[in-house]
Amino acid sequence: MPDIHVVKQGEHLPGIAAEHGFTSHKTIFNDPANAELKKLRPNPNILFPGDKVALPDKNEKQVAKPTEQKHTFIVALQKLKFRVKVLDLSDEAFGGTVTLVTGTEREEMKQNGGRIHETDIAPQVKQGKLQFEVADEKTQRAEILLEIGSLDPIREQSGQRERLNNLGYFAGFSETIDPEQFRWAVEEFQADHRETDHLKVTGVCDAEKTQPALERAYGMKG
Amino acid sequence: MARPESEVKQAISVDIGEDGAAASHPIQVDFARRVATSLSDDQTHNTIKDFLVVVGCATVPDAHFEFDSSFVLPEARDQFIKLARLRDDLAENIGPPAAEKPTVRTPLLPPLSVFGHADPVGRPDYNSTLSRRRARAIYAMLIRNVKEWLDLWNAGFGGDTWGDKQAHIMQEETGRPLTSAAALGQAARRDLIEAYMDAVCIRRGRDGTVQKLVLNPKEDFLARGAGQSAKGDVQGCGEFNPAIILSDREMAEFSENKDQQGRDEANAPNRRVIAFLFKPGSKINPSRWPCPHVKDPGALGICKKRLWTDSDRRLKPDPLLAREFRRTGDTFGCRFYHGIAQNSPCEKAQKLWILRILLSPPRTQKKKGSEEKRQVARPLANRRFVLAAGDAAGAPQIRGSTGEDGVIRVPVFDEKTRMTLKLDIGNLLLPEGLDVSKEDKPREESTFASFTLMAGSLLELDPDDETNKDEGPVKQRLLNLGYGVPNIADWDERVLKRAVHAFQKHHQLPSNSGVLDRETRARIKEIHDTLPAEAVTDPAAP
Repeated sequence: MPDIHVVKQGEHLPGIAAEHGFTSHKTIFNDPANAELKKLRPNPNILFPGDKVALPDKNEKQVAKPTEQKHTFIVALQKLKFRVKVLDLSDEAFGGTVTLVTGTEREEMKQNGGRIHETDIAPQVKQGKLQFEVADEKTQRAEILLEIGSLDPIREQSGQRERLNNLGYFAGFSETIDPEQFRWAVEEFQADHRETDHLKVTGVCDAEKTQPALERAYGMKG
Repeated sequence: MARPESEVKQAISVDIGEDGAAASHPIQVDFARRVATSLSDDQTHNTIKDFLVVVGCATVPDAHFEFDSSFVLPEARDQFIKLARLRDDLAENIGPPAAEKPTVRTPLLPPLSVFGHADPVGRPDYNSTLSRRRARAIYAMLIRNVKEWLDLWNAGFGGDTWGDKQAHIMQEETGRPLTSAAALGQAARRDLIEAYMDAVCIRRGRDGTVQKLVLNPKEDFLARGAGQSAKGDVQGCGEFNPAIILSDREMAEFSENKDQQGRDEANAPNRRVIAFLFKPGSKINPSRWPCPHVKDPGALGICKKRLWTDSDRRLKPDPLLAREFRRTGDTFGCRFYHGIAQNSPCEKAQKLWILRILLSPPRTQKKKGSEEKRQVARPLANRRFVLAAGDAAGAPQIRGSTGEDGVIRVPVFDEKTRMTLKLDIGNLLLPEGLDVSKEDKPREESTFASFTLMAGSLLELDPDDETNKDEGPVKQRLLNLGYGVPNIADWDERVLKRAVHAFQKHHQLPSNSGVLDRETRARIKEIHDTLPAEAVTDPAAP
C-alpha cells in the first residue's frame, strides 16, 4: 500500500516529491493511484489543503561500479520555476530589475520577451517578496509579499479570490469572507472582460466562462 | 476597492466637518499575494497587478455651489485650502518606509480625480449633465482653465444659466465695480473668471501665506490629462450614487405639501463634488477607464453599463426610513464608484479600533524624606507599529505610527479577531532623559515588542452594576492599564484586590482599600474608555 500524504496550505506536488525523495513529481502524478487527483487538479503546482496524494514505492536503481575508485552520480532533479508578470494600473508590465528575496537569499530574476520575470526556486520555499529596482523615483514600486505555492485551485472560491486579488480586483482578505467584496470583484472583472472574453456581468464566478477567463488573464491553468 | 497596499503610513485626518470632509483614507493595508510555482517546461506564469488605491478625499458640498448650477461660490475657498494641505500631508506621509527612503527625495504628490454627483430629483439625463458640469467647474478651477468656465457661462443648461448674479458675485469677490453680465464681452469675462479663480482657489502655506492653488493637468491628475476632455481626471456620476435615499413616506409628504424647498434641502447631501487622491505614482490609462468623459453625450448610457447587477435594490427607497450610505454602505448604484468610495471618510463613517498606548511611569525607589511625586502614565508618541489583524499567514497587516497622543486607529476588518500588535518600543527601557525619538537608524521590525489583542472581547462595564461577581469587565480594564498579572484566568481575589488598591492609589481616589466601590469602577471605566466607543486601551510598557 502506498503512503498517503494529505496536502497542507502552501504545498505543491514538486515540493512533496522533493520532500519524499522523488527526483520528479511526475512519478507521483502519473501513478495510477493518483488518477483521481490528476483529474481534479490538472496543474501539479496547484493543490488544495486536504487533497490526498498517494506516494508510490520508489524504484531502486542499482548500478555496478568497481570499488576503490571515485564515481560521480548525477541525479536529474526537475527544476522548479517561479514566474511573474507585474502590471501597473495601465496594464503596463514592469520591465525593470526584479529581485526575489526568500529568507536570506536574493535572486535577480531573468526577464523574457513578454516581460515575464523568471527564476529557479527551491521546492521547499514558501514565503518571499519581490523587490523592484527602478531608474527614476517617479516609478518607485513598493515590494510585494508572496505566499509561494499557496495559490488555491480555480475551482475553489479561495482560488478565485486570490486570482482576482492578484489581478487588481480586490476580492477580500483570505481571513474574513466578505461576499459583497467578492461579488464586487467578480462583477468588475466580468465588466472589464465583456468584449475580450464575451463575459456577461452576473456576479457569479461560473465554471463555463468566467473561471477560464480568469485563468487566461492570470497566465496559468488549474 | 477598499484597496490594500503596502506603503502604509499613519492616519492623518483633516477636518471632517459639516462643510464637507477633507480627509485621508484612514490607513492602507498590506497582505501577501498567493502565487503558484511553474515547471521549467510549461509556459505558465503568475500575474500581479497594482490595486487602485485611494489615499484621501476632499468634498465640495452643495452649499458651495449656486443652487442647481455649476457656479462655484466663494465659500468653496476653505475646501481648496484643505485639499492643498491634505495633498501635501499625504505626500509626506505616504511612501516607502523611512529606512528605504533615499536621503534626498522629492515627495511624490497623490494624483487626483474629480467626481460630481447630483440628487435623484428630476430626469436622469439632466442630473447626469449637471453633475458633469459641476465636476468640470471644479476641475477647471484647479487647473485654471478659464476657457472651460467661459463655455459653462456661454452655454447655459436648464437652471445652470449664469447671468448678472454670477457676474456680481465674481465682481464683488475681486473688488470690481458691479455691471450686468450683458455688459461684459468675452475678453472681460475671461479676465473676470481668471481673477475670481485666483481669489477662490488658493492654498495657505504653513507660515500662513496665501498662494494661488494651480494644478498641472499633465502631472497632478490620475490620467495625466491624456484622455479626451480629461477622461479619468474628471467625471460626473449623475444621480447614480446618492449619499442618502429619502423614504417613500418623506417624498410623499414633500409632494403633498408641495414643499419643493424641503425636498431639495433634504437632498443636499447628494449634490456634491468629491476629489479623490490616489496613491502617489498612480496613473491610469484613460481608454480603459470605465467612466465617460465630461462632455460625452452618451455619458448616461456608459454609466449604466457599470452599475451593480443589483443596482435596483441599492437605489430603491425604503417605504419608511431614509437610507444613508454613511450607515448602510449600499446606496451607490455604480459598482466602479462603490469600489473607489466605499471606505472613504468623505462618504462613510469609519469603524475603527482605537488604541491608546501608554507608558508606565518608571518604578522609582522612594527616597527617605523626599516627597512622593505622583507619576502619570505618558503616551507612547510617534512610534512605529505593525498590526496583524488575524492569526493566519496572509492576514491583513497594517503599518503606521502612533500619534502624539499615543493613539493608533485601525480599520475594523472583523468585529472579533485576534490581533498581534508589534511596537517599536526600542530603547525605552533606558533611563529617562535620553531622547529616544531622534535616532539615526530606524530599527528592524523584528526587534519590535509584541502584544496580543483580543479585539471585540472587551466586556461592557457599568459602574452601577454590582451583580457581576466575576468582575470580568474590571479585570480586563485593569489588565489593559498595566495592573495585576498577565493572564486573566490567574486573577484571584488577592490579585484583584492588589490591582484595585494600586489603581486607587495612582489615581488618588478617596479610598485605597482595594475594595471595588462605585467610584472606583466609574474611574476605571473613564480612564480606560476615554476615546469613543469600541476603544481598547493597550497594556502600558512591558
